[in-house]
Amino acid sequence: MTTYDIFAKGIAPMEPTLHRLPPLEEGWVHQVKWDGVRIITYTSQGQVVLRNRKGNLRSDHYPELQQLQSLSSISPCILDGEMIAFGESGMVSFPKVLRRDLLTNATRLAQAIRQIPIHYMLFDIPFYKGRSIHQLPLEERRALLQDAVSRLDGPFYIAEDYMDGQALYRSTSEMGMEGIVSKRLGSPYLYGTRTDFWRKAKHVKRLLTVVGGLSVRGKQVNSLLLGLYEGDKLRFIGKAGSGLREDHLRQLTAMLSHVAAKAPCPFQVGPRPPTAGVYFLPPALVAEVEYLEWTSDLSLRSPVVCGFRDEDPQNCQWV
Amino acid sequence: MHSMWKGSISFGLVNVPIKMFAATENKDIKLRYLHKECHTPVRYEKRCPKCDREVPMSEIVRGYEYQPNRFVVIEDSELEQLSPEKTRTIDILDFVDLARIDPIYFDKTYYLAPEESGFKAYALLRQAMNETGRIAIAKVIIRSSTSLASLRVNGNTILMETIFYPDEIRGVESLSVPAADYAVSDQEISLARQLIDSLVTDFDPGKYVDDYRASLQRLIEAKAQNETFVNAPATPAGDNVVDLMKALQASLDATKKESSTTAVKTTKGGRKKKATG
Repeated sequence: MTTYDIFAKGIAPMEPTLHRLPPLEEGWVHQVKWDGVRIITYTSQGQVVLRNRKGNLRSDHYPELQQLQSLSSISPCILDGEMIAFGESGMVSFPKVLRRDLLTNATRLAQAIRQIPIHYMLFDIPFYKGRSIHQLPLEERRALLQDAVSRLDGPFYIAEDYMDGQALYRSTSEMGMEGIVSKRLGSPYLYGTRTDFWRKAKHVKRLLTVVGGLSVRGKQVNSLLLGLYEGDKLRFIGKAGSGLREDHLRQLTAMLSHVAAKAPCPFQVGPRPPTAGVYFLPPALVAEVEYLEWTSDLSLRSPVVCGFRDEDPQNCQWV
Repeated sequence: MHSMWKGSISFGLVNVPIKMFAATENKDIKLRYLHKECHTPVRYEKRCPKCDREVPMSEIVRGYEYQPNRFVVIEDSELEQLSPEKTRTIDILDFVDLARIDPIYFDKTYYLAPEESGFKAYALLRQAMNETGRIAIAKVIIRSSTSLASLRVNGNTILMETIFYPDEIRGVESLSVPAADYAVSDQEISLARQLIDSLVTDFDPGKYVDDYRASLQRLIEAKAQNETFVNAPATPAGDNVVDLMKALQASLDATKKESSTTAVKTTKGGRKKKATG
């Protein structure tokens, strides 16, 4: 690709492979895996262009990043990082950043910029002063990135390097963070490649959810329709069937005879829940689920039901 | 931009596969109707006053009122039979001088971009139109209705303007305007010409903005901002990232103390290096 193509179409970023645990041996640095949206920044001739992992333009979504215009002394350059936002609890919230990522309406965006401040966690610089430096070892790219960004004003951060992957894995788990990414020292930046030079190890996440319906196959319940409260409205966040034990299924199936076949759907926001073969319930039952991550339409990816909890459904709040 | 239509320009024996994009967008700010008491958006329902109930789409047909209160019902299938074949072509009929078309005929503007396979034919048509200074008049079918359109070149792009049929342009007979030889004095006309000369400038579209829309936008933003002060929970003070990194560091330190057989050295910025294995 020519420099023109790179800036006109965008690069495909380097991706990590998924592992159950971080590598044990020496020769790796470890970073927090930030649960956000991958954003690649292209600066050239005083312009800052943002694209997501697929190459779609995001410049209008994050006007805060226009401050990167001040990188003119190292432009044209490409920065790779993760855009994140925080929930009320002070923890990183993927749904929050996604809300920013989906907004284009100027009025709503102006409001969202105040309500949902974003933070840009930078971790690589594959293109520097008009040429690709992907062949430089990780540590050298990292030093150039540090040098370029550390003096900037704005919501920019450089992903911290940790040497002890095991400790970082434990601590991020305790803190309820998404996981860690381990990077091979001396490794190049490989555009558009999922490579073993970068390895991610994710924590399973847990969540208390409201059961808003039961989906039925034959005459047996086979999965739960789950929701979270967004204020006083219940948002549909997906179906979960795996993890339900035989005795759960028997009890839930027995409940069906007490449930009106045409109860109103309790979900008021979010994606549309299925209606065929579904009994809706008034929101009373709380289930704990494990899940891998949020999908881009804000449903749970691979949820597993861990059990039912004696909790107030109103405590199952979104973000 | 999303293409809204795919088809081809047909020009003699040449066919140029193209994608069509709307060249303009309406930026009027949409305000919704709310119930004053509870701020719920009001719903429009289709009601039959005779049967006194809401009527679903499945029970609705179209009709033309040919006499007051007398309708002929037109079925969708009948409309479909009338609509022209969906050939998806922009059929060039003639080439004319741009100056010969009064701007009153122009309706909506679209950009035409070639598909990859049509680059050469597109460039050919573009250059031929540029060199002859002509624009094309074409017949085009968009959304099951036939319209007339003109094709012209702007920069490297071919633009298409749909144009009104002559019978869609209203006549001026009913307007009362002064005749061409209406008497004005030389002094008055020289004053008016001076006034025009003093205002002459180059056309710079960038300097005209929609003031009304800008003020409405400011009003909405100001109100929305107050709204967030009422509704939004107090934003946590300080920098979330720094707080989180401190908490993470504290957790790491605690883990290290538990397994204190491993000596660790902390460098500036919380980065850690293992001194021994």
